[in-house]
Amino acid sequence: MLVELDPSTKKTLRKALRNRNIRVGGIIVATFVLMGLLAPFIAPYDPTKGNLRDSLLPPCSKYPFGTDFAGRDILSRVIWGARTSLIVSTVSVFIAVIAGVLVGGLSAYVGGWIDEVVTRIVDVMLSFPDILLALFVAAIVGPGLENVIVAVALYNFPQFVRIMRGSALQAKEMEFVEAARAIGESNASIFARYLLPNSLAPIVVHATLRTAASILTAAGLSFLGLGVQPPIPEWGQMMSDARTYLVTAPHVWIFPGIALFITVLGFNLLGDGLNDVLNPKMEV
Amino acid sequence: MLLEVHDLRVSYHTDEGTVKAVDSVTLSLGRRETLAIVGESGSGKSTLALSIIGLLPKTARVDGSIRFLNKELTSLREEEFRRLRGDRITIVFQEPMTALNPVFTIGKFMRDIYLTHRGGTEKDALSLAREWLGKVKVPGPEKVLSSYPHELSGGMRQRVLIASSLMLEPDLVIMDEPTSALDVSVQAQILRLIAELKSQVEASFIFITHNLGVAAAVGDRVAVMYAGKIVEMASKEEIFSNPMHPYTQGLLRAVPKVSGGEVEPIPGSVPSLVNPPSGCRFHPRCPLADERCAEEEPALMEVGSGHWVACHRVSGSGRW
Repeated sequence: MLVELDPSTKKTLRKALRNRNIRVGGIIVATFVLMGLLAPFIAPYDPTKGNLRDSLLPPCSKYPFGTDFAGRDILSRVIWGARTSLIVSTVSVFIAVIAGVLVGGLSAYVGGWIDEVVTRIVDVMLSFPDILLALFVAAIVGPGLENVIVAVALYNFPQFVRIMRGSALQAKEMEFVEAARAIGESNASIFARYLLPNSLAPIVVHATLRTAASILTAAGLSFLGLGVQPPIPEWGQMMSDARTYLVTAPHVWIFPGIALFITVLGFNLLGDGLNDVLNPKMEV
Repeated sequence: MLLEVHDLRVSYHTDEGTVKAVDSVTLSLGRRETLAIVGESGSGKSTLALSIIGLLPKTARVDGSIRFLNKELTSLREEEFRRLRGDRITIVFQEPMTALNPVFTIGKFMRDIYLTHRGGTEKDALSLAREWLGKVKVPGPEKVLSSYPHELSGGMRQRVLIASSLMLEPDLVIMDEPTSALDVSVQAQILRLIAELKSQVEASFIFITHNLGVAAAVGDRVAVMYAGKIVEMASKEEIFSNPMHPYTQGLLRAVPKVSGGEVEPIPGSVPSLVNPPSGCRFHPRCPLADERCAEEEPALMEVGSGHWVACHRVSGSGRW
């Protein structure tokens, strides 16, 4: 090995690789990510250009997943849809994690009335059902890729604030934080180098699980017409388009549906597996 | 004098009332001197230590004066205090298992202390860390530098923390029960190490313990605290050969002896600091208490050279 890993990291890694959830989830997620990244190279057709003469063809040798009403290749659209889902979910979760970790961590570290206010706001945000908050935002800012990202990030945000706050409150009481003060570390340094790294394990797990939920929510928004707009290929919107041909051309919704199902399952398996490895106390 | 604490009072406001954790404590510490502070849990000895290094929670109210290196610490700006901490004043905590950040290696931890206060290069920092790990007799300093805290035993971690506390040649080292969380055999090793290191460094030590035997092993002078007050303070020899305060005498009688004989516990328990007893705080448990003890608080008086006692039964005649 090029990098010399210390024994505990090796042990965690070995444990992770032995975990079946991580192996299965990891393979699914890796496939999904590769599909998204390599879409331009592996998709057989342009996902946005259709041939109306090939409209609604069932799966055949020319179009393995068939075509939609506009004669566009569904396989290519599923592959490009992975890219859309990948962008929406990772960017929105990334934004939510950064914002949530900062707000939750600072809230716990500073405490007092600031913590009180942050907690109440988060409680209010969490009291909305997931999709409702995203719908609310999407309805205000309108449809479109960037707006879906904002809507999904906003609905993930309070969860990360709450998790980070709890985790940081716990880390804050550890003696090494007081010891850090005793060796003359500044508040900023204690926050960034003592509190954050010791609070991140639950965030990593939750981020994986929220990626799955975000893919679903983004697909849901698009299904309702409030998400990504045509002609950008998106699984939820593809299924929405297929409602008219639900029975007559089921392949139009089956393939994006399967892609969505497997991807979400993969992220959930990975998240559960990470939880087992990173929080061994939860193991049954 | 390196450190002069005058009439220090530390109190907390709680729902039950004001807790007077430290009440009118006056003491001083010269260079290269070791003061052992002995007391039961809740006697205020740790609060005293934390007030000197400025680590009391924000809710604490501090009155009185703490002078260190000709600076008044009670009114020092946080920014300035931060520069003292870890450099001129250091502290070793009781729990070596949790006092180290689990995500840093020992090398990074020690290097950061150096870089924070001295600047300089990583190479200098690591070579000093290595040198000090050798001085605290850590086997294989090089390997320990690249280890994470959880890979080391409690005794080893405490050695690392002691090395870190001495590395920058501070003027004052506070040790807050540094051996209490360790196995007895390790305790003895660490105490021997501290006694050895004391003669090698220029620092003064405040050594906090609930164990009179430990105090005797490391202290030049011993201060006995009870319910937030110093009740007796004298040289180590004087305290053990001529204890004057009934509480000190009680503590000495309560220590089990190898030769056998009765252990006499002090009856009762440490009083509440929200509503402490009137007069002498020890009077409800004191075998010699009379009416005056219940009404009037005895002052800490010098009864012999360097021997201070706060007891009505002593100050009157010099002997009771």
